Amino acid sequence: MYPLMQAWINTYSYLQPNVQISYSAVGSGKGIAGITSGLYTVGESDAPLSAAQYAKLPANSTLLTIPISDSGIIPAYNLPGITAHLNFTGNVLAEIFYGSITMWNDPRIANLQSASVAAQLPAHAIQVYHRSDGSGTMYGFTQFLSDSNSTWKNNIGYSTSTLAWPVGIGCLHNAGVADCIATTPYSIGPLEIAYEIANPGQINYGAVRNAYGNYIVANLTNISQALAAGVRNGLPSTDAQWTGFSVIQATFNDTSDAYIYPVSTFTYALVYQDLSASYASTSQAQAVAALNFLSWVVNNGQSSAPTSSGSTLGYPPLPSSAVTLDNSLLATITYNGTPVL
Amino acid sequence: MTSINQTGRRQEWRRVFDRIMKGLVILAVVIAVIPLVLVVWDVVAQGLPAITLNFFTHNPPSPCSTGQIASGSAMCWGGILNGIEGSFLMVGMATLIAVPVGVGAGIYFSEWPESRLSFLSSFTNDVLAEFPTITIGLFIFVLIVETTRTFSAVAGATSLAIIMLPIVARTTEESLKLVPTTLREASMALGIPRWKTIFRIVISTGRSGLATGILLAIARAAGETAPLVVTAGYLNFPPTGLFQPTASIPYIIYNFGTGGDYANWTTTAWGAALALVVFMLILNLSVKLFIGRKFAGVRAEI
Amino acid sequence: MTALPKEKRSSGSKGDLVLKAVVGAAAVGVIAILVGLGVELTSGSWLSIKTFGLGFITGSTWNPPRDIFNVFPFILGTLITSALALLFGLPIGLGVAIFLSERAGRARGLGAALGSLVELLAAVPSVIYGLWGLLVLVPFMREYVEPTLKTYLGFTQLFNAAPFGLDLLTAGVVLTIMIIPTISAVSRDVLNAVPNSQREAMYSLGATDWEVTRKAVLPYARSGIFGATILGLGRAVGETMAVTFVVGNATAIPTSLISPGYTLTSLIVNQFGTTTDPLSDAALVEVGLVLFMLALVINFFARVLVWRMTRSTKFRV
Repeated sequence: MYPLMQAWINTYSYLQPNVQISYSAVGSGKGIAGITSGLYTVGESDAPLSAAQYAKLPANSTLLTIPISDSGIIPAYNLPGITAHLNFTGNVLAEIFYGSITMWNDPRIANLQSASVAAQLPAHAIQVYHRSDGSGTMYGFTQFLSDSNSTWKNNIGYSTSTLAWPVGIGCLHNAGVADCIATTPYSIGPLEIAYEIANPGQINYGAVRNAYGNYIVANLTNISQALAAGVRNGLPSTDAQWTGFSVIQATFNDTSDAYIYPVSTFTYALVYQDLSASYASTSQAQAVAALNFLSWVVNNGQSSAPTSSGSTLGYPPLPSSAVTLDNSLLATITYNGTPVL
Repeated sequence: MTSINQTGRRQEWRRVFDRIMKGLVILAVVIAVIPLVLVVWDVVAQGLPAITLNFFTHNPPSPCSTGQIASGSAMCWGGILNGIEGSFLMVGMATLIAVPVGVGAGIYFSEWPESRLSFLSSFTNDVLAEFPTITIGLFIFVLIVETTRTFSAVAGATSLAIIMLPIVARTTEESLKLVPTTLREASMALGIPRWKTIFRIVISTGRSGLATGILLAIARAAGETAPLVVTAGYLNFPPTGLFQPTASIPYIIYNFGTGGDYANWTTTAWGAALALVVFMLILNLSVKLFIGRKFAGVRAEI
Repeated sequence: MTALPKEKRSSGSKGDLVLKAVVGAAAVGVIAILVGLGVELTSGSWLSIKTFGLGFITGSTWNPPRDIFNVFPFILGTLITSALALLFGLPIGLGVAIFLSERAGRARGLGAALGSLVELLAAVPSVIYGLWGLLVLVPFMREYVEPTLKTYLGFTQLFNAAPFGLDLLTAGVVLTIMIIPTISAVSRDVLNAVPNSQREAMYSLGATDWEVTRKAVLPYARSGIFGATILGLGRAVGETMAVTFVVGNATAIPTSLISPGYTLTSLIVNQFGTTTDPLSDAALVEVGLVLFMLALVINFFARVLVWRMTRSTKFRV
């Protein structure tokens, strides 16, 4: 998420040279703490606030949760000689990352594949990689694993901070995971789709089964569709608490859409609804600048590419239903009673 | 006969052994120097492509995928302007804090060495000099960052000042101690008060002794990363305020060097590394020019 | 220095008092900093100390989502990487020191140049060694060195794992590079402090150069060299950036030298900013407190040793 924000800020400062946006890349925890204390005008988080975090907000305040970006997580692997996309279910992935499945030719994996692919699976141990640092990507991935497998849910769970992965080796950052997989045959690891799109063809990855029953190979389109389904399946109302909302959980049982990618997540901006309140510590000029930036991000920044041509950074654009939602949310933010935008 | 032959063989063996050990010693020196050569070589080779005039006048670039870099987009090239200004600001402030306190402590150690405070403090000073800088950063984090609830240039500068202080104090003490007692005695015999005597000595040795200490301390502070990670944070623009997160060159190397998804970020990190290495070399060479024969006991390495 | 005659003039003595008070305050300040360090680190980690007690350093689980913070694996990682650094760094550093102190007299230009080069080694900031380590050394270790070690020494648990590059061994190598200047510089001073009479006595008995070094100089300098070693250990324990890039960042107890690990210092830097609640904040500060106490003991001990050796000379190390 941080590189994307960086790209947005850089692009925006070309367009609006008078606006200087300072961005502190701290983890979600500090971001939420910063918004709670009024340190930041806009917070950013990979996960909505928990009930405990909502409880710490200033009294009578309303904090809006605004999706501004999204991502998908793919199961990337390195299997010499196999170019097909392997099929995975959430349950099988959970067992691999938990350590219950240790060999590539385990029947639980083979049964998901077509006959020809299953025959190619090697009798070799699986080298598991994961992130060593906490991240929104891992939050989404482990949330998916928790939904798919009760053992994972009860013993490991999901979080934006470092997890106690039962097996495997941690690699630092997305690039680290990609590097680890690329240099180790018979390895597997969770990777953000952005890496694959920004560096096409470097990594093989598998398809994941969605609620409808299809095995979906992630791309920008089907991730976007998943997010649209998530919006459809019930976002909390405007100023309600978003605790526990997640696209992954909202789409986990969505059988209506055949082609959504089930491991897709939002990233959120957090803003107080009343920016003139004392707890928001924001001047009018800051409020206007911040909301103009957010509005640009939501409406214009979604192509996420610098102005010249070339492949994108790999973050799927917000579905139009989310853009509509965001615009309506942003419109409710006021300063001294009048809407800012 | 036999005994002479045995003696001869033993002499021969001793000489061979001597040569072997000399060879090993030289090998040790070669092994020690190889990493330096390799590192400098790599920094120059990888960092030079990043160095353009823009490198010193622009902020770091957007992350760019391989396709975007290949297309030559202007947004994929940037520099370290924010780091240069941030480092200057924080190292400058740190120097303003560390020099008076360090010189003062050094004077005390040198001129009142028999007091218990002097003994305790100079010992503490030496311990502090080798201390893990991350703990100094955490100290300032608890003291300043948590109370002001923000990363700041002030917090960063304070942590750097604590790191610089022992170096300045030590070199001040050493340079003052090299001044012969006779000078002090002569001055006081002329009726000049002790404090004036001390200041005259301090000023006269200032050119070499104190300047050495300050340059060494600046070199040390300019390269520190860990304390800044937990006190100053990072900002993609030049400093916006004393109590705002502030960039620094070492932090750029850390941040962009580990964000390896994007090739242009890695290049930025190497370029920053090259700029820093060159700066260090200039500082250390200046110190060598100052040192001369007087300060055989003071090393650039501190 | 002999004591100087006290001032008789009133203006002089007032100025003297002021000066003494001001610089004395600076000296007190130095002590205050060290004391303040301990106090603030303790207060910042109080919540964690209360929650975990001694289990903080004996337990092995670091699980932030469950709010469990124990640091034994990281203490282990710090000790292992530092031990490796000493294992490699001591012979090399001592060799350099012997060269500069005993031999350099012969070839003055070369000796001085090499001595300067080794000092320059210390002038390069550790973050640059880290960057180089990650991008150059790690692939080298992973592709050439570690597979070889695994092939020939894999029967021991030490090298019985998939060669990874980002591991304790690589961190140990980088740390070695960082502490060579420390060990060699301090040792050189210590060796220089050995009186020439010792050497001359041995030479007059017909000893070779190496025998002079081994039998006359080194034993005399033994405690000082030991002090230099401990100082190097202190440096290795406290090194952050160089290690963070290459150590592998694994929170479990490492099973071999070529497995990824974690050190106390890298843990702080990497986990910083990911803390989500006061307990995790306090736990991180407590890691710093553990490091503080470790460094305090090591540096204190080292200073005492080196001090005793060089106290009589003009050079304070």
